[in-house]
Amino acid sequence: MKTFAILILTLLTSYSAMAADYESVMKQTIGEMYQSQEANKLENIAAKFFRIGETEKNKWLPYYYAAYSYVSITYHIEDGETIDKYLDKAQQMLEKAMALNPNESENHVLQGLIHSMRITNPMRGMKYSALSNEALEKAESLNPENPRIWLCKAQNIYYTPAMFGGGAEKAKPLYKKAADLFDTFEPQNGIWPQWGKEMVENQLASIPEE
Amino acid sequence: MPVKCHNLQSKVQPPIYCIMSSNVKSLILAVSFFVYLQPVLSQIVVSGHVTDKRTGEGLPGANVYVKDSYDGTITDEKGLYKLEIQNSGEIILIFSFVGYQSVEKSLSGTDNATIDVQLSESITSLNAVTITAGSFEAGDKKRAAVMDPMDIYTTAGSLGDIGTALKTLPGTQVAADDGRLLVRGGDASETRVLMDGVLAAKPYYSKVPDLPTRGRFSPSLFEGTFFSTGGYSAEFGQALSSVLVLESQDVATEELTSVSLMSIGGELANTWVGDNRSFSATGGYFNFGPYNSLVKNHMDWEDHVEAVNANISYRQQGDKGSLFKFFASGDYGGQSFRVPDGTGGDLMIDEDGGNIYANSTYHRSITDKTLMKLGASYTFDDQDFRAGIHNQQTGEGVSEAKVKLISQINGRFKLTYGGAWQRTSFDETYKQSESGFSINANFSDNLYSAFSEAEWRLNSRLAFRPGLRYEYSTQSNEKALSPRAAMAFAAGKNTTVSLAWGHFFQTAQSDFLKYNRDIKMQKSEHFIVGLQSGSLATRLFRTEAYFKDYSGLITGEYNDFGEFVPMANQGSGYAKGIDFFYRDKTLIENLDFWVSYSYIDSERKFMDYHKKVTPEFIAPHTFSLVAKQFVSPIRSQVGLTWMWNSGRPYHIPGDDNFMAHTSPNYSDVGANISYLTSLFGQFTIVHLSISNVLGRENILGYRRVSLSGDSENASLITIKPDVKQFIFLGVFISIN
Repeated sequence: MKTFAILILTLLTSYSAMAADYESVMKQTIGEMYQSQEANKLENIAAKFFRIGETEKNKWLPYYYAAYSYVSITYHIEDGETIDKYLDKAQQMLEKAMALNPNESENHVLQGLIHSMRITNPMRGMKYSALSNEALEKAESLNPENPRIWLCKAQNIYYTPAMFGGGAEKAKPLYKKAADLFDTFEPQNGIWPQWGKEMVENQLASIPEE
Repeated sequence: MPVKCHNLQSKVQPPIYCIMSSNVKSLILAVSFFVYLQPVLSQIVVSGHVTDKRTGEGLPGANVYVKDSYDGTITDEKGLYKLEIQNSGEIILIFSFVGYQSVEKSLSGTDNATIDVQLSESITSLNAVTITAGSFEAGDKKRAAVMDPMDIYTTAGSLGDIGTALKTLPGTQVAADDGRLLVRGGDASETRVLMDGVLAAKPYYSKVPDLPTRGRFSPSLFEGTFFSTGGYSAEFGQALSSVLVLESQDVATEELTSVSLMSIGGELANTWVGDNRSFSATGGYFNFGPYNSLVKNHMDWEDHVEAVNANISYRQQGDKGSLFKFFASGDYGGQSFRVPDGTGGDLMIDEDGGNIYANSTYHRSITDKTLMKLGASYTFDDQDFRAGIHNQQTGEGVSEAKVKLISQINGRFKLTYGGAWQRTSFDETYKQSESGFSINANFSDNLYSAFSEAEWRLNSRLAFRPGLRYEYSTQSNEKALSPRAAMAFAAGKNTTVSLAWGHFFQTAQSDFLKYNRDIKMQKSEHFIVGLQSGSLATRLFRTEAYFKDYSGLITGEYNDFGEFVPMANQGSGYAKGIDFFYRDKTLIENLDFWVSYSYIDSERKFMDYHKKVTPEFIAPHTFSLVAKQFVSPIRSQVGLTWMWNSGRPYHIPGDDNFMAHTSPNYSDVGANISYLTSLFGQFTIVHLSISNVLGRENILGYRRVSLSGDSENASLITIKPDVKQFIFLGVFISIN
């Protein structure tokens, strides 16, 4: 009977410990997010991050990841209107993260990314590339060592037509800078944003050497 | 014990698994433990349908979750959900969706449950019903918007003129010989133009007979426009037909130099950006001479249109969203040309003048719920006009100061109130060059106004907007009280039915008051019913029927100098009609087009009309088509605009029947192409625009010549567009 009592106690304690284990749930969900490509799955994941955010109340990372999940959906779709729909959701989530931690470089990088994803037609280029660069400047002023800033800057230039001062060649030094910073970047904790390293490597591999 | 038992289902399994594999004894115990606890920790399934309360349609992607836990799910594309939870007594389920008010439902018991939930839109969200009657907005986000700000630039034939682009909307008259906005039976003086809510008294360059004029303000200054064709808010007065509100750009975020080279002149602009503030300056020079000498044109020019202009603007953002804006512009220009005088000879028209305009606004919140908007503007216009022996020098200053307060009492009720003081001073000297005869007229008027308006949203389906406006003019010593009311009803997810009604007053224009100070305000009453369906992002349809009753219109006669002398307010009239607008961005990929059709039936007795007839500026049927396509391979946007209207009435002097004739139909096809490229590594747009591509000989109407002063023997002058075909080539370079 004593064993049984101990067992119940052990079980209940572990339930409680696991239920409250914010970090491990985050880790698991973040892992799922990086591996998902389907809109439906990512939308579920975004919703889960939102729930975590609502429950924890004062943590910015769940909202940050909710926003990033919505942005990830747009990587796989073409239709401008649908992209806008998901980016609107991403923006709302990012604003919650921003409100909790307005001086976090990562939040501003994500803002820059959301703006540049809005460029679904050339007529939007002027407006949103300016907004994106502004957000990235802000991110840089908060932490110039954040490799994602340089990745986003590189992407903005990469996708700007060469005639407007963009192109692969001009983007390359920025990708290189991002790659160097990714090697030395120390995440502040186990659930810190990780995305971008692979993207940088792929881009660098695809740009031919001079 | 504050254990989050409902979390068990998702998180308990891995640890149990570990225990089981490590210890067989525990395994048995664990299993028995679970069997034993079964009645308490039972797993139940909650399912249901989440719908939009307003439309009854399912909401896909709504979050359904257990309060204070990570557990939940989202609804599928039909709005259905199914959630498995470990039930242990009472729990709370939360249903939430972006832009909607969250709903909480408590759940107890151990049986599977079905919970259907209806979510209401947050009243403050953009989806709440908007009163659209009478208004056309060009904005990014607003629901009543029918145009993007970019549309003004990219509409073929508009040549970057705000008014010309707005003429592709229903309810307006094409009037290629005017250039100003003529709305629903109203003449050009019946539209009031405001910048950031404050008066812009001379929004057009001065108008000379038969030539279209242009708006003074470049579309690039604005990020949105609100154009109302009737039934507008009590905030706006002194307009019988229409208001056009231009909303200027906020603080710029990017330093930019831009160079514009055009076939008719050039412009240079620069923007400097500081911390939460920006300053820009623009200067331009225009000369139509080289162009006119290349292209055949109907006008007999002496001196071609030549003008210089400059403007500066400063914006600063402060704490708590406060915003200060200052804008000033000035221009000076002139032209001279010969027109037939109606007796076989020529008459030289020579015009030059200058204008300065300053506008400043300051917005800040004064309490949590109240926003204060202060604004002031000043216009000074100086014109020197010579026609043959007649010489007229006019100076007019108009200033306005305005305060407006917006109190958001709660989510459903908003109160807007405020007042304004407008002062007009006018001074004109007329001289006859041969006789030396000279006469001076001057006066000033103070116009005080106050308004109050409530916007009451009963729910997200129904909104009311009652308002009251009071105006007092010191010149005519008149008080006018105008009640206004509007309402909107959401008939479907994206469909709104709106109604608007109101009384509108307008004092006589300065040109009339100089002859007769006893002239009273003119009045109109509007009744509008409209329907709007769809969205600007995909396809949008709207239709509006209106009736407008005019009373107290100014009557009088033309004097020997060809100027109108008002005698009384004995005129009256009406306008009724129906407008249709359809815009589609989805029918064909990359093609965006809109179609407008307006029918109007209007008669009035005013000016020197001796009976009630359809006035000279009204064409009963007006049609326009605007199409734009982005052609990716050549990085160009190609546009086409077709404007057509049926003939306008005119009168042949000596006829027994007044205004018995109708001019031919008018048709114009304009085309443009904007090519995105780079020059010296800088972003560049090359823009080519051609009007009247088909080379049609249009007759706009006929004008009775009153310049000779002899109305018995007056003859008709055929009014043709000033140039048969206008070709505009511009290169716009942005330097970052």
